[in-house]
Amino acid sequence: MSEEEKIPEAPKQPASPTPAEQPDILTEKGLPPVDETPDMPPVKPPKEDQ
Amino acid sequence: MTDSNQYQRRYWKELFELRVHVNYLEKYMEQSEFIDKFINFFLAVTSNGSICSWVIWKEYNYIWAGIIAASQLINVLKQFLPYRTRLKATSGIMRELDELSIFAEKEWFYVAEGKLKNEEINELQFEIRSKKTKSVQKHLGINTLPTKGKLLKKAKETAKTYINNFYGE
Repeated sequence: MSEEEKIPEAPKQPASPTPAEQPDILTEKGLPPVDETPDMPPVKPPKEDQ
Repeated sequence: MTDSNQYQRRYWKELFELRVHVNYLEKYMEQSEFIDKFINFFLAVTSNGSICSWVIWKEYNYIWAGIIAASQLINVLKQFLPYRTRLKATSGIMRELDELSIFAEKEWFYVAEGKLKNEEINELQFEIRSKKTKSVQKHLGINTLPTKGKLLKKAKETAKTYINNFYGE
């Protein structure tokens, strides 16, 4: 294979931005994700498990 | 080992997230309304104040004319500012999500009391999520809401207090 026939290397993907570099979060739905949830109060087992 | 409460737990998460989003939109709307009122107040003061000042201090007429022209320009441009579109959208989403949140809380009784099967809980959760997504898409369209960390934090705190008051032990 000659030099000209060589397939050029695909450009490298840019590294994903670190959290500090990320701009304001724009979620798909337009609402921000909620990362923490308080503990669920005690519940009875679901119907089929009883 | 499977978690026998995993569907109830997911439903609980959905319920809490919905409450946070209702609070968040409420605070977002309050902030946008504040900006709107502030701009209107500013425009009223600058345009009317400049006319009065022009009458008193005629030698600075180019300053007063400049202020009046700038306030007129802002008045025209303000309808294109993003907060105006967001104000309308958030108001619509908030109303619908608030209703959805009440529905989700009502259904929580059946979920928590073990009156539903896992399959039914799962369906209910996705029904809520689907309605929520449709509401957001309907009102927001191609627009997005930039996340405001401070408002989100306050919304979470308010939701936690609400959950503690009504679902705490």
